[in-house]
Amino acid sequence: MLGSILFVFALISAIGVFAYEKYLESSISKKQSSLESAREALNPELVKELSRSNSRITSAQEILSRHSALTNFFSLLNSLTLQSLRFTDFSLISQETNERITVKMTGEARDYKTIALQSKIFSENPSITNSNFFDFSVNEDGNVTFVLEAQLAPQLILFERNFEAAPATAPIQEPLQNETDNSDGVERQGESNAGDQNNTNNQ
Amino acid sequence: MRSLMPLLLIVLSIGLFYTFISPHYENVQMLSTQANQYEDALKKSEELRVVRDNLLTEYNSLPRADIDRLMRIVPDSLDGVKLVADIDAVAGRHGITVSEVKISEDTSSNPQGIVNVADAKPYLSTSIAFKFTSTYPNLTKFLGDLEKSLQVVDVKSLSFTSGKSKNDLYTYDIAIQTYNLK
Repeated sequence: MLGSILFVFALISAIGVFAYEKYLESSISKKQSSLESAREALNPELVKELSRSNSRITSAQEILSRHSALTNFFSLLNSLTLQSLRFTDFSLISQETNERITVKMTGEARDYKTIALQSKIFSENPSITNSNFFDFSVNEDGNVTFVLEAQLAPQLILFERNFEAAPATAPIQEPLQNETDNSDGVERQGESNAGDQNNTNNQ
Repeated sequence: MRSLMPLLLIVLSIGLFYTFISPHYENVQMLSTQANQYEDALKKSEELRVVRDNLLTEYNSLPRADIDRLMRIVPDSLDGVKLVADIDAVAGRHGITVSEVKISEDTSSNPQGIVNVADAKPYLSTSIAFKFTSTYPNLTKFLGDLEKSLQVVDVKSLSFTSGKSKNDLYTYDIAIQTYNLK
């Protein structure tokens, strides 16, 4: 009796497994066809084009958010440079991500006092960091030559800054007459001294 | 003989289990997993279709002029010669002629060909270095025009020496960077 029950059970199981196997094979075959139809309906070329457009938009956002406007720096330099000081050589290097912008300039000033005042003006401006004047010397004309190295705040040269309400350059402050003797006409100029030899008092 | 029949049925049952039921059951399990994967894929394809339709609607709602601007900001490819010609044309408006032009595609980020997924950018950078002679006011005007150009140009380095130049003319070395889609 036990043997009969066991055999019948085994036989039913075998038929059931076989039938279910065939059902699954048929089901998978139908799903394969459905998936292929769905893939064609998705239009891979269109998806590729949309994906590329998405890359273009995200790229544009990133590029524009870092887009630099060097003229912001020159405007600031114009507003901060003293009339009795001029820059002769200039070099600016910006890193890939604009995180570190280094400026190196050589220049000449009427005297050491002018350089000290210029150094103070730069150090008080948040857009110019780590400004360092060095290599002082007196040239044939009696002017004091120097080298200046400084770093610029990345925000200073951001193009999008031009669209903000605040002015692109720091407001011009009154000459620091109370702190430094300014009787010899040391004052900041509206015109550039960077690379402009005509504005040097020593010429 | 009658007493051997139950034993024979039990042996047959065991034989049926090991030779037919067990291998087919294993196959059924594998097919069942496969069927579930296809089911998931079909569901995902339906979700993908909805996302695609939404994106397509959004994309089609963008003004054609904006899409054209985007194409200028991040073009599919960069025509170096045309770009230099465009820069020279902009420079020409300020009496500047560019010279000693060098174009190089940026490969510095990945010298070994190893791509960090987090750093992978969908665009390429191209550096263009050139020289020109100009007055300082014209330099700032030229830079201003470059900054506002639709083909995005970022100045990566700039240097000049005033020396003992006459007529306020200086020679500038400049390196700019521009971009295109990968």
